[in-house]
Amino acid sequence: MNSKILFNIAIMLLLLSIVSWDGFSDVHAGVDSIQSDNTIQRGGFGCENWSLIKPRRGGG
Amino acid sequence: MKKYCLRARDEWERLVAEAGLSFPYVDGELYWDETSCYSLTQQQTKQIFETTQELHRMCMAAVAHVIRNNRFAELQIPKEAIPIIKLSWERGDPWLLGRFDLSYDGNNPPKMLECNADTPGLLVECGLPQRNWQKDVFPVSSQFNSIDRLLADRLNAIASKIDNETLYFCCHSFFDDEVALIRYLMKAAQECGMRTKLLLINDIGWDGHSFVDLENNPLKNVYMYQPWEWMLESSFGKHISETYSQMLWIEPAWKMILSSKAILSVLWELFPEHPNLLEARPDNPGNMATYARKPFFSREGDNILLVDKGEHYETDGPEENGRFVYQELALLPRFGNSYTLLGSWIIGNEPAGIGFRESKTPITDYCCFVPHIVETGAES
Repeated sequence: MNSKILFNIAIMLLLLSIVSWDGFSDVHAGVDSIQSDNTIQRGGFGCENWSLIKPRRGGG
Repeated sequence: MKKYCLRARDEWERLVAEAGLSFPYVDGELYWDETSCYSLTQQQTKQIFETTQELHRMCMAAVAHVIRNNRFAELQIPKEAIPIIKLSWERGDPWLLGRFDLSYDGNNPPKMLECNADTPGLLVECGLPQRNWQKDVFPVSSQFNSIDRLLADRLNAIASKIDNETLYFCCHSFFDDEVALIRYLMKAAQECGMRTKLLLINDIGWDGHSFVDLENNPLKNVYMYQPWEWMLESSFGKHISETYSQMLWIEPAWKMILSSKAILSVLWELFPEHPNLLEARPDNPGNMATYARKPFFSREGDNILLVDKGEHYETDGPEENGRFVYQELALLPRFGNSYTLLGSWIIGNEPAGIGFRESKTPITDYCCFVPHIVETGAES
């Protein structure tokens, strides 16, 4: 009886570890997919025109 | 209107810097010049106040007219800007400030030379540093300066619209006065309890869905110190249209209408012979013998030509391939050796204060700031 309970517990732990492993994998898969999409571009508003302007003196 | 010569305060550089003006010299030349000041009577101040109020009313009417009649092409506003201009106008997006440049000699009605509605400079100079100078030097006089109070009122109104969301203040870092202006505005917003962040324009990101800050947080509310027409021309320009409905841009896109100097001819058409306007027309001077020729889109006095009875004054600038507006010439009044330009602020719908700039030439691209007082009668 005791060995049967121990066996069941072992099976449950095994299943739990598989489930949690899968979940963990999902999380990583999610992170990986975000990172792979995460190609953030910067500097696209440009500054070429602005930097051409002479030193500013209260204009606009 | 008088000009007085004065002795600058001891440690004036420290005093103006503490009030937010971190650029007393520009390019090695004096910019904040408190060795003189302008003095206005209360009647003259009232005249400037009322003129500013009237010019603002006419400008808002001109914006409504351009939108209602689809006159965008005449102002050289690109097609892709039209939906966001209309959206920002119909949605009633809040705007913050603008500055009218006036030719005013103290006697004749002030004449509007132009309206700086999108990226006006001169705010810091006109605000706390100028107020502190008046309290130190002319404590019994007054000043036309409600800038800080009206900024707070306007920012409080914007704060209630965006709840507790962050307002990003974005600028480039090339020029000290620009950074100082953004910091001045940001401090005013913080004093209203707003959550703020300073973000350099080149650090703004695009993640495929939203504009983002350096921590990749989406931007929802942005005060941007870069002309609208340049923003739309940039590689991020198309994303502005895609996201405009989910964002609040200050100044709103409809300010592009006032940024085009072609608005000067629209104003003259809508309000002909108005005492505070100058005749203006696009593309050619018509019968005007003396005139100023200005590119539709120009900043800092670039590419301006003044024609005055055979005499020409001209400034250079980046190559200009666009159209020009021709405006009846109103030469700036001279006080001593200087040409004097009056800048008058509108914050929200309220005339908010003034600042004088002096230039050695009739075109004020290089100039210095001179403070002012309003006489109360208790001076003597």
